[in-house]
Amino acid sequence: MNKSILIAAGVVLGGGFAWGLGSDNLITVNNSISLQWNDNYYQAPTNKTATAVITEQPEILVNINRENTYLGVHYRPSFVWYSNPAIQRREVVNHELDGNWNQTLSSRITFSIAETLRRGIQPEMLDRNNALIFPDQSYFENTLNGTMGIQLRESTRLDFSGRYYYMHYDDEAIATNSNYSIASAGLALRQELTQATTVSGSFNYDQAAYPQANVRSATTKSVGLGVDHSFGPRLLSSLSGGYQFKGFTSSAISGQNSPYGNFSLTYLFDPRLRLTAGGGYSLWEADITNYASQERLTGFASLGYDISARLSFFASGGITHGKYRADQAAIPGAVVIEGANQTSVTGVTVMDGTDSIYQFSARLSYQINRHNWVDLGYGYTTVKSDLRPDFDQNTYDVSWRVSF
Amino acid sequence: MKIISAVVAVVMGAVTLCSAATTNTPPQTAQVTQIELAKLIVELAHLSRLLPPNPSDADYFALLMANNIAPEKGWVADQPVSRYDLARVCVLALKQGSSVQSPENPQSWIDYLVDKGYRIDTIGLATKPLQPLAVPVGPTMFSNRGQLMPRVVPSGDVQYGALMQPVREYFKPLSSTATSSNKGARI
Repeated sequence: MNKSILIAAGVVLGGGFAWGLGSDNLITVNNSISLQWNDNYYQAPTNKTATAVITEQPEILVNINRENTYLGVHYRPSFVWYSNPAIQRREVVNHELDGNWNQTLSSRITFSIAETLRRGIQPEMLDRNNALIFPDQSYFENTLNGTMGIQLRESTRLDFSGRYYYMHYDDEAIATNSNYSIASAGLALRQELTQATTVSGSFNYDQAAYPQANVRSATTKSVGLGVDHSFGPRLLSSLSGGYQFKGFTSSAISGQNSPYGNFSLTYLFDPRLRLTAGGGYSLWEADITNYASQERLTGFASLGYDISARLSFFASGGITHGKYRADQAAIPGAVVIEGANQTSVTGVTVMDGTDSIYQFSARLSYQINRHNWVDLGYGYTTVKSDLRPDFDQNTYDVSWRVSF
Repeated sequence: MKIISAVVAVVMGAVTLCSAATTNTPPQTAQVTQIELAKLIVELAHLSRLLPPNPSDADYFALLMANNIAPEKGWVADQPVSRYDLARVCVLALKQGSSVQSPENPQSWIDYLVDKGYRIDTIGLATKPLQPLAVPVGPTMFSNRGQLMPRVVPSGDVQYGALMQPVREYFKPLSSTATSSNKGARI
């Protein structure tokens, strides 16, 4: 709670500071209140628990623009109420804070800092028989990115970047195995070949540290090439790929070298219809405990369509497919006994397996007037997994947004 | 950690060299290019938080296109900004594009701004009325956990037009007896 107060105080002070700088600064306040029906709050395979959810989200945006300086702050708390009395903790508050600082030092040198803080309250979930569905997963997540860009020549740019990522869970049992940080450094060299094509080369070094579960700590080096190409005025594409070399601190866990790749397309069919699609494959931090890593394949597509001057439609779909290896089981202090496609670790069977998440969401947005919008939304999520219970979840929502 | 220190040292060295080089070069004056305009609009529309930490020109353009903001003939990084392009992009960033009488006529976009009392004599004046977008759309939906650095996107629920429900990470210890067939293949 103290940290929450600090966050709020920081935002208020920052906002006040910005306000005091003069009339060129821009502070925008928005608000959104939504009513949602969630048919599977517990994300359970059977015996689903449905609930109505009311979410109140004020939002403060601060923009400071000077000739060589840009500062942007975004803060959005969420006050959430659940209607179903079977839910143990029916009121939670989440926080989102984003800060951006872009600075031009000279005609050739720029730097930027981006800060992202998330405070999420995810209380434990018990079923009707008081059996544990999920432990308390409340967390702090912070990402601090810094980049310095140097324009070496008119068509050549060099970027140096650093990042510190920090994930901290409140619950002691989860924190022991899953609190971690990633320190990263990298560089990217970009060369514009033509007006439509830019190629790049990059190198990254990531060091993931699990303070209380060193068995999961790892270092990853990545080298890659990329190309950004414009196929025409309305179609942009990006493609990158390379190779990753991942090694774990613990000799009990197999290291892994793997290719990686990402692509994305953005297409403006006409002034009213646009489409974005993409995908990627790479090694990734595990989303399921007992594993040190996963191979993650993702794909997504989204479109936006302005039906009329006031009515817009958005739809998105995505797939996340994770592959887990038994020989990358990560339980601190455990004895690993390998068998055919499975590893017995102190009585817990850890096996090769896959974990797939399919998501779809749609939203209809109607602009009542310059400052007010009403949205209708639908979301569907399903998980198919060898490693955890499958489930599906539908949500329906109506919300009112206002910009002051 | 040594590698990170080495990279930092290389950065500082490169900055020093480059700074030395730039002090001997007179400042260049040039026309405003479309990439410079795109960066300004991303900042004024409060879209910076949806960019990767070291965005390429294509990242700026893709983000603006996902929010339906583009010149008539698309974004070209080095191309100087014309008054037509400036007027069109500003109107689209104000989310008033559908109010333009004859959108196929470039002059209509200028007339629309002038009728509203906005001046477009300079980039600064034309972009002055811009505000943060009320419904920002990010170009991708996935969070940045462990992702390669050059292409990371902001974490959390990136606004993507349609919002995705979070899927909880799974911490429950696995059962000592597997309940499903072993579909995963060892690599």
